[in-house]
Amino acid sequence: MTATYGDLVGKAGVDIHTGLLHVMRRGFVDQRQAQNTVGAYYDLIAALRAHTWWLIDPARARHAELDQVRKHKAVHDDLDMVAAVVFAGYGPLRERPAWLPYPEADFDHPWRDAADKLGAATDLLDTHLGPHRESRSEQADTVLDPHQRRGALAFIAQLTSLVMSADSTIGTACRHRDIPWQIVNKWLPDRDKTKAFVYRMYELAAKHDDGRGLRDIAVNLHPVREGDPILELGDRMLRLRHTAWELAGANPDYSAVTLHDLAGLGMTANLHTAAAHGIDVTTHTPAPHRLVTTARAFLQLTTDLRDYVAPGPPDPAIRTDVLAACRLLAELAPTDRPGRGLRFPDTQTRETLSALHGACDVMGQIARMNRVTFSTLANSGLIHIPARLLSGEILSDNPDAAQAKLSGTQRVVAPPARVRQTVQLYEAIGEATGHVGPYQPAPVHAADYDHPALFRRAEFEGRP
Amino acid sequence: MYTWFKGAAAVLEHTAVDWDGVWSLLFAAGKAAFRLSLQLPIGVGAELAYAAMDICEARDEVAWVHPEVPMTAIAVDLGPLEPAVDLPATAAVLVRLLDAALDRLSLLQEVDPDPDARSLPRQLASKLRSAREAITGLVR
Repeated sequence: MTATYGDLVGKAGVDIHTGLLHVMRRGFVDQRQAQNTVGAYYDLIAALRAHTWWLIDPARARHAELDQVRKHKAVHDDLDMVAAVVFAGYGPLRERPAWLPYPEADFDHPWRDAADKLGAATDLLDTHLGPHRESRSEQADTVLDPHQRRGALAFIAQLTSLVMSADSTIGTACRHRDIPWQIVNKWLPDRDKTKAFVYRMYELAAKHDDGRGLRDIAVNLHPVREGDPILELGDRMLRLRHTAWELAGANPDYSAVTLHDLAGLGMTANLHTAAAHGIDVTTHTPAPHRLVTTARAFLQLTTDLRDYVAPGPPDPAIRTDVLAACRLLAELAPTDRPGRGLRFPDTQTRETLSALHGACDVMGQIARMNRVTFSTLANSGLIHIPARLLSGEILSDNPDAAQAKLSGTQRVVAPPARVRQTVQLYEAIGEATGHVGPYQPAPVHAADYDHPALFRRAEFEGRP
Repeated sequence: MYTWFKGAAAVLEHTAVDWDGVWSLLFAAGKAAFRLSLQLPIGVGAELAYAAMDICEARDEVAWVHPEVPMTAIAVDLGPLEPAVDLPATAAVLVRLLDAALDRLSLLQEVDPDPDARSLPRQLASKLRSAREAITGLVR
């Protein structure tokens, strides 16, 4: 299963709670364990701080602001400022003062796992960005969106709040092992102000927490899990979307055949989904279903793109995925026998239909990306069309093309009027799939995401 | 009245037994198959579009191996269809074009002295046969 950001921070939350329960129920066996746990506790705070700082856009909240924060009066209403105050409130954590302990290398505690997972979660998000915060995937916009990042901060702030309030529990457990008051006070100083600011940070961030936000972001790698056709179809569609996104960048591969392949897959996906719902696709109907209209729009585009001649050969990776996806679609929803749709809403049917609709949605997104690619190609002047295929209407608008045709030239650079026809076909697909939003196929959803509400009072009763 | 039948007859008459001829026949067949696919219900049209893609791919392969062919061969578009499509008749025209291309390919394979170059007609022929099979399957 593909781990998502939500999975990682959710599991980190579980580890934090588990670690706190260990301390509450069992306390410490000796001073060495107490010292190690306090060290792990500081490591965990450092990890939470690093995670928070990654989510707060460091490009905006610069270090320079840290000094101004203390003089500033209206700190309470600005999330960046509050985060900066919290940051300053922790004091040094990575290079600690001499009296704060570090955990031993072989010390095992859930808090250390939590710190690792929090680090892994930011690493996961970082795979979508380049070294200068440039986009490396189609999800980079979501990752860079300040609103989403602040929404994700709400959960982290909640965990931070929990960890900060664990100090009294740790202090009590230390006293049970006869660690002197002076040392305990040095280890766990009074942090009431910081705690208040952490809670304020949570309040401010929670306003941005709507829906799933960053939780469904998976790592920016696109392996294909073969064997299960539903999983394989989802993986291949995601990989195609990623490749189509790359093509829509500044350097397309100058191949019209690749666009043609993808348009053909769009037709296949919509056609098979329609067949799976039991829609009659073999006769003309007066009011065709949306899936049939979309399939027809893709077919028109496929036919239209065939006329162009471009210098690039078809992309073999895309073609492999397209052929495999066509095979999987035919396997999941054959058109030669009537589909039953949702007449039997068992798990298998629902998962199949979900994967098929997912494929259609991804094709809608790919068509929008391809439209950009096609415009780039047309702009580059490298896309040609046989002069014979230009209609009189187009030729009358474009004297150069007419001249070329009369003088017997075989190919001309695609005239703007012809390019506009293709762009209109892309727009027709855009309208037919206008309902499509950002999409993740079902298996990639953060199923293991545990909400912090997993604090169960019953487990805390009977503590030592 | 102009029909595809007349257009196809003209193509068949004016194409020689060489790569130019094969390319012209495939061009006419591919273009016509795409045109026909747009006028049929999508379930049938899609099958025909796959056949058309195969034909166009075969045509592109000819163009990769013989780059001068698209520049010299005649390219005929059979033109639009009347709104009420007579599927068996139009499919018969496509099959006729493909059969002519297959005949030329088998002749080209026999006369070509270079053993390496013989693999191209064989590959194209298998692709075209599957397209032909799909088109005849539509009428049945």
